[in-house]
Amino acid sequence: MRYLDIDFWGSFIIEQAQKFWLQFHLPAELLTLLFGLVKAAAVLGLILVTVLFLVWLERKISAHVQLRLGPMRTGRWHGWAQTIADAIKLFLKEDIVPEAADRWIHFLAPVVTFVPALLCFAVIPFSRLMVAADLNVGLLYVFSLSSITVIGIIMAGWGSNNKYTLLGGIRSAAQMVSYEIPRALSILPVVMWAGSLKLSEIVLAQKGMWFIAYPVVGQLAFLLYLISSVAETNRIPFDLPEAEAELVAGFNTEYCGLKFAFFFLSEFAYVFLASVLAAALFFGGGAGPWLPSWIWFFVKTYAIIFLIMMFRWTYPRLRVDRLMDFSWKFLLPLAFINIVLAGILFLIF
Amino acid sequence: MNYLKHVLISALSLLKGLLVTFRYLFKPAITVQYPWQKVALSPRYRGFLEFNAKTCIVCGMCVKACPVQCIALTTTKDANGKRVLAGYAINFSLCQFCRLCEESCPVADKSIKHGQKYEVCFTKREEMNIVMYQI
Repeated sequence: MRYLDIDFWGSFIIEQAQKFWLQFHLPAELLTLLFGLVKAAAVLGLILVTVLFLVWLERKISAHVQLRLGPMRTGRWHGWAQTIADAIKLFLKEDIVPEAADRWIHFLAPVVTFVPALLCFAVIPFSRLMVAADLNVGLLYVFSLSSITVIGIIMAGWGSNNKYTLLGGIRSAAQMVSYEIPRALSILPVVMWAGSLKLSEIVLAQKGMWFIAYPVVGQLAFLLYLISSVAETNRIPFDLPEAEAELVAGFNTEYCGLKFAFFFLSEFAYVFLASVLAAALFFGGGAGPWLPSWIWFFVKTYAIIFLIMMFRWTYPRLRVDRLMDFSWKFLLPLAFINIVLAGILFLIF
Repeated sequence: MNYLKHVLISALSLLKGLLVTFRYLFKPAITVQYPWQKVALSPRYRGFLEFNAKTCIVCGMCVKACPVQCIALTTTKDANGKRVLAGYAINFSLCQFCRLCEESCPVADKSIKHGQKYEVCFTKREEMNIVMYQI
């Protein structure tokens, strides 16, 4: 069982690496920088592999819901290598920039969209040791960084100089800014309960009872978080910024090759992030019997990802005005009521 | 009160939809992985025409029955002065796979009939005139 524990291997590798680098008598700052780079590379690798897997999973789930089989050829076993082949294809594609496009904005948009998604993973506690930077304002950090992405999408919409992409950009601005508020408010009860914004402390606070089990407040907060997270990640039923049928894929119409891959990567990275946060905030992180904590953490995360993917293949797209109504007239008041309710409950118990 | 009822009903209907897709997730796929698996054809499937020269009695019924005159049957006489088959060709650019030739064939073991083969491709118009039998 000890060999299944990622902390055991993590600490072993870190110890060995430190021993190896200490013999060169490098300055401490350089060592910190070096380990920081390694951590960043590890996080990036995790995201890339996860996104490849998620795209495959999405295609498989979509296929089986529609009584199809999905990718079956590439890599023999259920088309496991399909997304790898797709990634290679995207790498090798020609990079086309529209003639009338604003070159710099068009170039920077995918970067501005993807980098915050990558940075958000720095504070996620995958296990006791596997956290790149355990900030004491972890949650605030995640929410503030993930709201930068909307700028990237507006840049993509504006820089492409195409009416559909601009419409997509405008829609995404309206949508993501609106849903940011109920999303941030929905996790306030958790923060109030745990008394900390540090993710590892929130996970520790749920040792006795997961927050989802907290009467009324827990379930309501989770529902609010789930709905607004799906809206934040621009997924069906809230995929208005990239509505294929009406906006020809919205903000990413004019993107191809690697730049398009970055948008794709950031979208799935945000789905993963939302699920990871839900697992950490509402389902006690890595808490669970028998198995090591990181396996439990991934099981919970993938359960939520599965739910989000099922949403996509179940529900039709919302209308623009109903989308706004839903956020401002329904989710927001509900979030406020939830906070008040949480305060009352915490005072009583 | 009415509003709350409305919210509750819509939430329940969303769950219902989710249940439907979840049930479908575990149903077997109805699609077929084509070059590896193939759909079983009906025995009366009108595939590519097959000609059996051994049972042919050279009556020419199929040639008369063909509505587009795509069958070319040539005959010759053998040593006993009996009419025998010399050549049998079908122009598949004209053939409309109607089975009239097969139906008109008087032999019990049909000498011209539709087979089960359907994966055929031609690159030139001349290739479509296929000689089924030649002395």
